[in-house]
Amino acid sequence: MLWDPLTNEETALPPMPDNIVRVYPGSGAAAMLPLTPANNYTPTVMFCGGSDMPDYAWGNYSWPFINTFYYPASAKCHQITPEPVDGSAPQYVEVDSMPDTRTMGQFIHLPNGKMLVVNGGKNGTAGYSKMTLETPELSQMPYGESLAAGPVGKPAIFDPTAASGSHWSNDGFDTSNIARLYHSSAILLPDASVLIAGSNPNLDVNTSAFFPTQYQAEVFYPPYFSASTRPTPQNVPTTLSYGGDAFDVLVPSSSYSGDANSAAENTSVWLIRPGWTTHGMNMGQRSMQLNNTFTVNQNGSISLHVAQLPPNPNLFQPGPGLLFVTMSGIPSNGTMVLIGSGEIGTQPTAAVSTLPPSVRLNNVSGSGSGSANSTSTASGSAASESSSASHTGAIVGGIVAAVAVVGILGAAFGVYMARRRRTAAQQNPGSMYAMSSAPGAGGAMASRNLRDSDSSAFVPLQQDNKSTWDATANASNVSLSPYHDDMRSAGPSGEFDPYYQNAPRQSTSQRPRY
Amino acid sequence: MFLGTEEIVYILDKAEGNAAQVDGHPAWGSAYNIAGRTAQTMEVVTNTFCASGMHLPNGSYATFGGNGAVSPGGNIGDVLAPGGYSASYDTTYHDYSGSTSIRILNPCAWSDLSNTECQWFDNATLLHMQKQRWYSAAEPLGDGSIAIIGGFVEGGYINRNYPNVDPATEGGAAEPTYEFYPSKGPAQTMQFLIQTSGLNAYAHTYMMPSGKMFVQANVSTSKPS
Repeated sequence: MLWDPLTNEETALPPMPDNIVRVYPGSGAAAMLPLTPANNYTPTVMFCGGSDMPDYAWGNYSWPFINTFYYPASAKCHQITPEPVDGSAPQYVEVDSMPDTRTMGQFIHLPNGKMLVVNGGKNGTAGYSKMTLETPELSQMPYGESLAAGPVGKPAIFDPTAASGSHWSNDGFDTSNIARLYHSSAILLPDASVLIAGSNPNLDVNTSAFFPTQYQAEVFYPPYFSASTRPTPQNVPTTLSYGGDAFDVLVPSSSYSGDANSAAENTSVWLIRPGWTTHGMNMGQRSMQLNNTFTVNQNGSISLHVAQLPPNPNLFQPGPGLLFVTMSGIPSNGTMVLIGSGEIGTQPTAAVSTLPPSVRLNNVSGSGSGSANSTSTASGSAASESSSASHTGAIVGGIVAAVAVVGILGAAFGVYMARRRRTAAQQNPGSMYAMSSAPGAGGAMASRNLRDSDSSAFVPLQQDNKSTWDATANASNVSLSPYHDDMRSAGPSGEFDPYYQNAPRQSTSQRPRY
Repeated sequence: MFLGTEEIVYILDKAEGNAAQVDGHPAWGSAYNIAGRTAQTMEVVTNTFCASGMHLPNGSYATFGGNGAVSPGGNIGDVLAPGGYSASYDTTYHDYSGSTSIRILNPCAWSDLSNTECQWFDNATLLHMQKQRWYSAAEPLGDGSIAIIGGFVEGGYINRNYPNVDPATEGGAAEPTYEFYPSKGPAQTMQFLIQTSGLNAYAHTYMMPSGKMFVQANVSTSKPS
């Protein structure tokens, strides 16, 4: 529904089609689509996946009434524009389904107008329980306490601007072998990779459960990481406003290759708010393309004339964001910016920025590498830390203590160092703040098909012994048996409340007895 | 987790038996140095399990609500709250109840992380919500204040009994109200939360151009059972 926060008035909206529950614990992926000049900054919200199990199946505070882990999640996606500018009645519209059914998937806005969906399971829901109504004994639960199953290890990318039938792509994407089920999260990093962490569908720490407490994090590198040249914009401001004077960003000629006019026409400026992530959600996540024009300079640099945000703070509430310059789908590093006054209160607004007309120059080219392939072993400058870590190398030495939402590092180093290391083909993340421009084969960047890149890979964040923490710390002396149950007896009613929130308050209701 | 600066991701976990320790108890907070691929535990006082969170206009972050205090094995803590249904503290994990918490984090440079002003402000006697909230939604208004919506009072799989004879409060286990941070007055009942009873936690919320908020929960129609 549409809710007025100040008057508490509600305006009804249509129900979710197909009975798909998108909120926890159905936990469909949800996001507002990128706000762009092309869509006139009109918000559309998209939901993908979740669960359409019938109302009865959801059960109650204690547990679901069916074996959720056998019930396929949804793959369906629906969009709604809650405030259409033409005044038409809002309605849900089905769009292309995800390649996989997914509960606990989550969207990450990428700084090229596309959205990555990561994590989750093929069946079931979020949450954990020692039983369901159909499986009354923990020893019979096929996945321990997890109410989901079938980790979906391969992400997918949604392109809102693609034609119907072509929105989703996961060609060439790597598949993670780490389950990211209940209590997983993900977030965009300033280098435009995606940090993925978590998973613990268990009551406490349990490293021997079917889906164990997962302390190892990973980084997923979207296809643009195959680029050997990434833009390095100059003069990016650190504050932005709602309307007001445009600002200039200078893109050096080394940031691109090929014809300058073409590169400039394929350049966009993105403001991403990564959000606050938990439980497969990024609260507050936003993506907004700032309007821009350009001037191609004789020396091959491109001056971007960038508009401030539209003068409506409701579109992108005041606070922090990451600003990226993206050329032909390849983003720069993100610069953290602060949008608005910096204070709680009515935000200053000004007129929409006026932009000068674009100025093109013929016969001007960029000096950056045009290679789409991983050729970092080629000779050249910059090299530095990235040259030795070629795109086919093993990843990430010297990473200390993987972080996870579900567990803090330091636990059982030995266990995680024994994990099979993934090889992946992408840049050493240690180079993320030094965008090398290793020379490679020439050619225009604009026409590259990023989806064929083999760089869409997971990079596990490995542990070594350089932990800042007490490496001699023992694992918790909590019993790690997945069927550890002696601290909470079943009781005469045979019930177990896995959230250990006893329900005397619920005594007015009938709870299942068996 | 959230991106605090270009160099740090701040992470909140739940109070549980993590091997990493801080201040003599398992850690459930940390700061991750992205470039260095290293992490530092951080002290968090209250249990952040199942909190919500949001940025603030100055780049700080707030997190709302959470679980009561827990002890090993996922049991309630050993210092019970009034009523005995949950705990206000646990002497093993050293976690306090987070159910009404509002915790604030001001991002800092990595080198300043141990400074007091760079730590979590987590003091429920000084700053707290009016209601206990577990899986509340959070969404800013255009002025940057944050609407905190709904949730369970003390957790569960879904926010209802079955049959659902009390869709509004479930005998005290569901929280069908909203409030703001900073406060705009007493918490108010949101009818939609009653209408979507049972599947109304972590509602999907998006501020719209008009200043109204798009809110989605359940299948957006009432589902009495």
